[in-house]
Amino acid sequence: MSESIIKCEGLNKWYGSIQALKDVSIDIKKGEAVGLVGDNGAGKSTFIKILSGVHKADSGEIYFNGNLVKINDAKDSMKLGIETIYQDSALAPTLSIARNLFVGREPLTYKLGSFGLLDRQKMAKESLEAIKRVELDLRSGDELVENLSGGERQGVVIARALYFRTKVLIMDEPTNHLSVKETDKVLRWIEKLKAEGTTCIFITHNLHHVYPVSDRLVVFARGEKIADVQKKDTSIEDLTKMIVHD
Amino acid sequence: MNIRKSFKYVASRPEFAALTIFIIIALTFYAINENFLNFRNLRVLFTISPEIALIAMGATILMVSGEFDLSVGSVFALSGVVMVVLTNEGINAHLAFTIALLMCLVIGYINATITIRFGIPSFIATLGTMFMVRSIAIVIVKADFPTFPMEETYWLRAIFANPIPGTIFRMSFIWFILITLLLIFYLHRSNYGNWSYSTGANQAAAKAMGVNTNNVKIRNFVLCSFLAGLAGIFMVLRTRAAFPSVGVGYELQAIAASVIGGASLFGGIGTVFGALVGAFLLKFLDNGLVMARLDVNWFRFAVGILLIFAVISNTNLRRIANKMKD
Ligand SMILES: Nc1ncnc2c1ncn2[C@@H]1O[C@H](COP(=O)(O)OP(=O)(O)O)[C@@H](O)[C@H]1O
Ligand SMILES: [Mg+2]
Repeated sequence: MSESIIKCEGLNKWYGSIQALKDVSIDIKKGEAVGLVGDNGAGKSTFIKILSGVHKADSGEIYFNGNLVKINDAKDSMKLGIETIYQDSALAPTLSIARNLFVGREPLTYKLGSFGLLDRQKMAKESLEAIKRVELDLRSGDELVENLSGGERQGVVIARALYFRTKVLIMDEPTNHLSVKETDKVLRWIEKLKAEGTTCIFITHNLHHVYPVSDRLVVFARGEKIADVQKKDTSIEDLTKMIVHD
Repeated sequence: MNIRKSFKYVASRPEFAALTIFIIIALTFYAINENFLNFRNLRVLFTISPEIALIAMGATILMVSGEFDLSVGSVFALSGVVMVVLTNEGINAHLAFTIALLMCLVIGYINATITIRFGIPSFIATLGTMFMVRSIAIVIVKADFPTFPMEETYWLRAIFANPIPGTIFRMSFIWFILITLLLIFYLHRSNYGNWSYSTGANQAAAKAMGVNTNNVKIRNFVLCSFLAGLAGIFMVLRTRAAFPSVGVGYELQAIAASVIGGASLFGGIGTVFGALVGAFLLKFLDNGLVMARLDVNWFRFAVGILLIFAVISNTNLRRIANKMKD
């Protein structure tokens, strides 16, 4: 558990005159489940958007497996094995589960440059297996995502992460708008990902969701990292005080 | 259970509803005037329908990726005009043909660039180029309607336009079928198609999955413009003259055909086959009204009704199909 997978040093990010990240350094270990908490506007989303290549830091360094890396776009991030689930849905609602699972990484039967013909058999077969792994009660990968509940959609995204053997899964508010039952399910999936060795970064403003599944908790406030503690060394009460009072 | 499943299948695929309406319309006009489906009129129908169908299929593919092109009617006119004018200027007809098509690719690229670079709605960007391109077509031609030097275009007409003896088809129909198949592969069977759908359905998600959504849109803008230009050239080779005012209103007919065929104005939904059926439906309707000796001005009225009916039924059928668990 001591080997570093993502290490950031001195990340700064401005949006115009607003400094969304102030000198943030963090060292995430392989297989760790990190809960990233903080009030709205604390800079959590900004931080993970830098890791996933949506935004670029104005200064600072990122190391992946000990190597200095430049993450310029989503592709760079995915190539490293980082997958991000955004709070505002990571799926195309009008497409089937199978098509969603493979967007950008379609299995092909024939290839010419970047163009290729879909291996639809493989997509059907593997999508079914992938959703079975997250115990989703769906009979085929042909079902449209718009027909799924919020929890089922998160299941599809997590199935995608499992399928592509994501090394680091970042989830931005995955339990937002979910029922209690569905939230439980998402938390169980995170346990499963952990068991498979995936490093998880779980962002939420709901401490009660993240606390049970985290090994470590990081607190952001006004763009700064104000705490970084092992779960065994803290409690929900302590963390709540930090978030509220800072 | 099987009936439920088949119903769900049909309900979730609006192109079948369009196909049904198409058949009803064809049979109704046939009942009114049996000449509607006679050899001569079918030849007319299968000559003019593919031209608008090419445009509609391009429009649908672009709509699937979340954009519109209102300049297709103008491009339809300009490509033919450029080809005829260049040929008359003494340029080799095959070269003129190539230049005209290349120009369409460029117009598509310009549409994409304006839309993407400046982040403005393609509806507005291509409304602008619609006026500009139309203006160019009229200016180039000036007053007279230039006709083709016949010998120069012998091969082009033989390959792309001449009637196939003993059939209702022209050569352009073979090309049309070929292109339709390619477009079906492109949109429904390839990764580019999957990227088009995901870009139109949820651009942020597609981007996050590493899809270069700008390239997806550029490709589809260029494709849409190319198909409009090719349709224009088919028409010019058939009529052997260029009219700078042809294709006015085609952009809206193409969108209407797309929507009747099941495409969504919000992107992420639509099929090549649906666009084809929608386009044929419009042309059969247009021609059917003439054959039924009705006032052709009812055409727009009928298109309007069809369009509204199609959108309402597509939305509701989709909702019903979605609610059905199989
Ligand atoms: N794209 C953006 N443009 C300008 N300001 C932004 C943008 N995204 C976030 N911000 C600002 O940066 C700060 C941090 O936001 P964010 O990272 O979304 O916080 P969190 O996810 O913790 O709620 C906020 O003040 C927010 O208003
Ligand atoms: Mg946020």
